[in-house]
Amino acid sequence: MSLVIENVTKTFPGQRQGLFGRGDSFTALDDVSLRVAKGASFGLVGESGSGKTTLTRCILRLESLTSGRILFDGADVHALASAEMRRLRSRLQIVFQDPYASLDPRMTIHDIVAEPLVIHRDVVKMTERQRTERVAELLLQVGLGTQHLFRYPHEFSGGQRQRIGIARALAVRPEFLILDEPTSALDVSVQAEVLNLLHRLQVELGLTYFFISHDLGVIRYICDDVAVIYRGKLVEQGPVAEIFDRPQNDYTRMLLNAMPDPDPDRSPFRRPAEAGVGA
Amino acid sequence: MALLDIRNLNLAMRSYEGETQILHGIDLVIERGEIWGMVGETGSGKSLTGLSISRLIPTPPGRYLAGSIEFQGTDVLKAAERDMRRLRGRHIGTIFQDPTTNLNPVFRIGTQIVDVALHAGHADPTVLGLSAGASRREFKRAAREKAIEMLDKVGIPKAAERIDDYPHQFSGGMRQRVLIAMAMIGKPDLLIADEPTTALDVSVQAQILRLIHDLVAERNIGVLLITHNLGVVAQICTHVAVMHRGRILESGKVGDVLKRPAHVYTQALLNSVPTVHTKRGELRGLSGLTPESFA
Amino acid sequence: MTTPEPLAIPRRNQSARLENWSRAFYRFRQSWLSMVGLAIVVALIVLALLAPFIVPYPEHVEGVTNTAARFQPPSASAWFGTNALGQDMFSLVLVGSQVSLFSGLAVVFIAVVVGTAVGAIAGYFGGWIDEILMRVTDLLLTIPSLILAMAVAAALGTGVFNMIIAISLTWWPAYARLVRGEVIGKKEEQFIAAAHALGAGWPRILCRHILPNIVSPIIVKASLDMGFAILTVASLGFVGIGVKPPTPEWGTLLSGARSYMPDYWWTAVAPGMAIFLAVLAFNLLGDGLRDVLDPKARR
Repeated sequence: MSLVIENVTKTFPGQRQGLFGRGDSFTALDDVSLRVAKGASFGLVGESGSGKTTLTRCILRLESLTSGRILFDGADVHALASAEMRRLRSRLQIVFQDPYASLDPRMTIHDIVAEPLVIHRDVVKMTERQRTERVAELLLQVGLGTQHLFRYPHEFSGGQRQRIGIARALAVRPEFLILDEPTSALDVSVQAEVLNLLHRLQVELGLTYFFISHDLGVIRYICDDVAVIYRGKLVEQGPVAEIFDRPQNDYTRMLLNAMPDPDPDRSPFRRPAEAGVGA
Repeated sequence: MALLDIRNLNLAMRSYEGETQILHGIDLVIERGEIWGMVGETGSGKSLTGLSISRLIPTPPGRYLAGSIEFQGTDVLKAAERDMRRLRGRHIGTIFQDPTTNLNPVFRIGTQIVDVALHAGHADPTVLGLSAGASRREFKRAAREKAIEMLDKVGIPKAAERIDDYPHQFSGGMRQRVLIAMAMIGKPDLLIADEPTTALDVSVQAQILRLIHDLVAERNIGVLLITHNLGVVAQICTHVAVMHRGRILESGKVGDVLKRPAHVYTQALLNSVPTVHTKRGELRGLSGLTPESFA
Repeated sequence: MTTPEPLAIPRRNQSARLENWSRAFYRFRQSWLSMVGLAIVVALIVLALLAPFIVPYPEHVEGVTNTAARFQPPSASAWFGTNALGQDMFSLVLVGSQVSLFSGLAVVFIAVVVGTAVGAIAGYFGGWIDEILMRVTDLLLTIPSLILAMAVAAALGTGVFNMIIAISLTWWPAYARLVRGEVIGKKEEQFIAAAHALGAGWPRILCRHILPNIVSPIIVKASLDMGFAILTVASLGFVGIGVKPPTPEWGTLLSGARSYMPDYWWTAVAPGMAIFLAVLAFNLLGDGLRDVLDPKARR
């Protein structure tokens, strides 16, 4: 499934001031255009307040557009009738940032992962038995054992919960996955495992990824193309290698420089000689 | 005498499951001018070690099984609560992870920071440039001046005007600067920073790290920087201790530990960080490690 | 792609749920006052249920008088003494617990059901629905429950049923406000956004995701309110509306004892202590539950 975003602008009205007045309106997205090819992995980089979350919400139609179009396989998301939108939702899934907040604490893992199957039962048509089997299969697919089926989210570590979130997203066999900072709440070692899992799943299932992150290292690792968003505007986009090796924009360059590298010799705070053994 | 000398620290915590040992024989010595990075993953015990230094772990449920924490020669674990309050306000500064939850939203920035300044001033009037006999009014005036000076120092523009703002009028990075200003106001000898940049954007993170780095250079203090981010450690720390499951697996100079890790766990952590140079499929995680790796 | 071998699916067991409960009880046990509250509440409920079978003088409860034995002080044969009509106070208080506990429970139950429904709908949909429902709620909140109960009693006549309706009418708004606030808070949680993104409709989101997650504050408030409900029922009995005299009820008993103070103190002390104990116990229990169920104490 391909995604095309054409000249999307999103303006939030200003806060009400007094009886008639309104504060200045705020432009969260300013003429954003991008194209995600089927089967590709597209990265969106930006800091907090850059508009990347608003863009995700617009893509999912949780937010209306001020102008512009968002097309999935040529169909305008914001013009779809609600029945068509429901069908689209089953092909388009999202993995959230915070695995601690995105799973309902009062539901078992089985019920959480099976929920999309229940919601889209008119599309997937499964009996309860089949659903349970599908859930078990999904848990294995994301590297969890089926013994966890009837446990609750709080019994799992952050990495395991994110795997559960991924399993839920994969339940209805979507073609397009939005990954909203899926690893930023995880420990690095766990992040490495989840990134490798995501990569494996993409290859195995032929998924298209829209990967949002503030971590350039993560984007570089998982994505083919990247767009950099700053204050609602795309400042630069292109193939990952090109943008990372030859950034054209000052903001992109600043982001790349500010990224802490685990090699002490690359620290801006010391000359290489200081960090060595002889210091 | 070292600034901070932690010897064989063993801590246990009581919970529903019963008592479990959280820290197993932590040894750590911090001298002035050193920035120690304490890296570890969730549940490694790095934050509890930091909290133990200012004795902020309630006992019970915590219980120290063995060991000592000497701060400038005083055993923190045995000191009276009154001495601890003086130590916390004056000699040990602490910065926590989330700048939003550590500022009270209903009080002005100024009120909160002046409060800290007054507290430090009562413990030691010289902090505010006063003698012991100074009047209440002098204290208040000096505390406010000090607050403005510190805000200015941590890079809050127009500090004298913004001191009367409320926390929500500040951005995340500025709030973290306020917390650093608060921690530094008593001219502490040791600064404990628990994930000070985790909630911040990389560009802001770079500024905060610069600030901590400059404070050390200027005041010759010791810093314990608790973080999960090896990149941050590599950038500003002079030394690093790698923690895993309540144990320090390896410690030493940053150049030694990060360039030539002696422990497989450190190596595994380093192999888990995606940098702009990592090729797809190269990240390893901890998959290759077995329990024997930690023996 | 997927493994063809049969999958090992464990039985849906209750062990995880059971462990949650035992974990919660562990936290509850940490405070001995909550344990005392729980013990008294359990004892009161058991006594109320068994009252008809263990009451020493069932005929006194029916209204039989024994003027020869009036105003007997507490003794082995009549633990709480006897009243002006020579009836055994212990029997009356024991059976009186049925009315008090039952009406208290009924009031809280009705208030919770109505309040939750109104609050959930107002909080979830917001806008003008919220506006209308909440203004009605505010309006009812301004009416004092005792006065309304008196008005209802005057209009429809006295009786347990009318009393329960009258009190509930002024009680549900408090639950509506509580639930509305909780729903608005939960609506912003990420797992709700996740459910939206999955394509779930509002009945599913409200009933499957939001309501189960706000049960705790409702239970805590209900438990704290139980004590107050018992007190309100007793107050109505005391002023003479509510339960009709032959049926023993704590408030009515207390009211009857009023003119014989302080010489025949036991006639007042017995029902008074019963009210005191019940209210205290439910408050202690509520406090304990709050410690256990408060989401801030979790994780």
